[in-house]
Amino acid sequence: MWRATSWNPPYIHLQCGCGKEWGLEDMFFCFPCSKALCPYCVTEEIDSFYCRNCMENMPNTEAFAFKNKCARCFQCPACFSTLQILLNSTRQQKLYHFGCQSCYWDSMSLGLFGNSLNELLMSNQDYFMKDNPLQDQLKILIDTYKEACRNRRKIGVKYLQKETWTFEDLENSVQPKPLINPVQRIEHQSPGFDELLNEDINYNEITSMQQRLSNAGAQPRELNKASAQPIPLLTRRSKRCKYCKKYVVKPETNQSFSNPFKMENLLVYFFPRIYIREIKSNSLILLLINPTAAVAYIRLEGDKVPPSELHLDSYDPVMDLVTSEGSSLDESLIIEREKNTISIEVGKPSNDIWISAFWKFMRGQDVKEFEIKIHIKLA
Amino acid sequence: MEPVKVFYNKKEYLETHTGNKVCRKSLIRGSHNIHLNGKCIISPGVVIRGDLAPVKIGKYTIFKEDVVLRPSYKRAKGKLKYITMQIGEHVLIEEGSIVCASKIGNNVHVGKNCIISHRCVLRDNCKIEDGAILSPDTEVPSFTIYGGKPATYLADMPDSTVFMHTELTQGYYNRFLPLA
Repeated sequence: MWRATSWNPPYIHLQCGCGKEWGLEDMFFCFPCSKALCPYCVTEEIDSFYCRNCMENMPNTEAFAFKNKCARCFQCPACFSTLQILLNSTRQQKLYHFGCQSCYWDSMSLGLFGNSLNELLMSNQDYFMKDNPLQDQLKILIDTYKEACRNRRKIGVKYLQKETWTFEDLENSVQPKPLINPVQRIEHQSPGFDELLNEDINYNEITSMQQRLSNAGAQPRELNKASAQPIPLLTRRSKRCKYCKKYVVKPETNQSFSNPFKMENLLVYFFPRIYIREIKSNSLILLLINPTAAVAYIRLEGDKVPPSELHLDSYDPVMDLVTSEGSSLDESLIIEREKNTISIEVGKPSNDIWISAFWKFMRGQDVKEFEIKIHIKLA
Repeated sequence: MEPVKVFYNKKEYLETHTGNKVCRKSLIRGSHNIHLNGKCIISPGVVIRGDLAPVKIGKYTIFKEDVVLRPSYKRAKGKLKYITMQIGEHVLIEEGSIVCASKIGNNVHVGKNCIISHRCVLRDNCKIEDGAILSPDTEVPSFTIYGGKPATYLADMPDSTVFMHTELTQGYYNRFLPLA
């Protein structure tokens, strides 16, 4: 999972209720539970599939039928960039083939071309089938297991209906029935050291691990045998709280809207941004910025942190308007107060500082309150 | 750490009434074809080729040092035709990148020393990693990270990208101050 926040100290992370540490950018907020949630505390649901190249939405059934891959877009087997369908036209005929704009890989050498687009796509599909040596063996195995499964059900019913069991019946039911011919082991002598040294290999033509795995069916050794692969689909996901099952994030299905979300309860909208302004020998100065539209309150508790309840004013940048509430009870702790930011000084017992923050903010008419642990790592 | 303030020499920059800050050491060709919607920062060494085709740039767009903007071309009926380059709001392009995309959405972050080839389309809220090379006609969907040579899909961006990136570019503009 990609994380937005850095792990190079100095950093400030928040601890989720499950004990994992995350940056503010990665976390969500559930309103019914009044809880900050990390990406592991939300359940994801796939809303829709789309191709990252043609941007076409695909319903679930169609995505399932195409094995979560796009039917029209392909990626280069060598450099994984998107392939283009090129037209090689002469006077006699038109030839469509795949071509990579980045590494100049071409499908003509593999024999993948067609007189029309459909023919090209079909020939690529045929190539997949032809190229997979394990396909037939796998098909036999699958068929056999299906057959065995069906027979077992039948046998079970047959013997259950019998009133008296003889020893022969028991023997028959237990005896294994050979359904499949076991694969014959091919005697293969691994090449000797001298043989390997003298072998004429062009190492530029050998596939890398990534290239081989992207061609999972054939796993070709030489690059000139790898064929164009369909592009895997990407997903749009909605997220629910793990505890109350309510939506936390819901993406917009209509992509023409400017806002990509129908609903987004992210922690960045409701919890103050905290920066380190200055690191002194035995203390450090923190900067807190209130992102909400109303005055909010914070109570900090921790080792060498003076117990205090402070308020943060709100600021509307469009109207250039500050909503203020005078001074807090512990105003002396605040070094500087400017618009919606305050800077405070806390003690520095070690390079790892843990502070509990109780945050109270307004959302419309509701007052929400929650506790979260802040981890400050300095070195 | 708290983001640092960036100071510039007032004599080296031109300021328009809409808040654009354009460095005199940048190379801007075809200025009648370049539309800045306000609050943009154009750093020294930036090249904008407005003489090839119109370039439209949205609000709070920041071009750092030595960025090259060149409209992309299309081949139509055997002739080369340059097409309009559209750049959205809150776009940050880091040092030394060469951008020939036909369209860049909102909240896009392009890393250092990237090459974005002709006719690429970068959708909203995406990120291109440092040193990436996008091959021609690549389409980068929203909320994704592309990187590598040639650039491929790497990962998804978090949902807070819209907020974080707007804050990043707005913050950079507000902290970009003239030397007293």
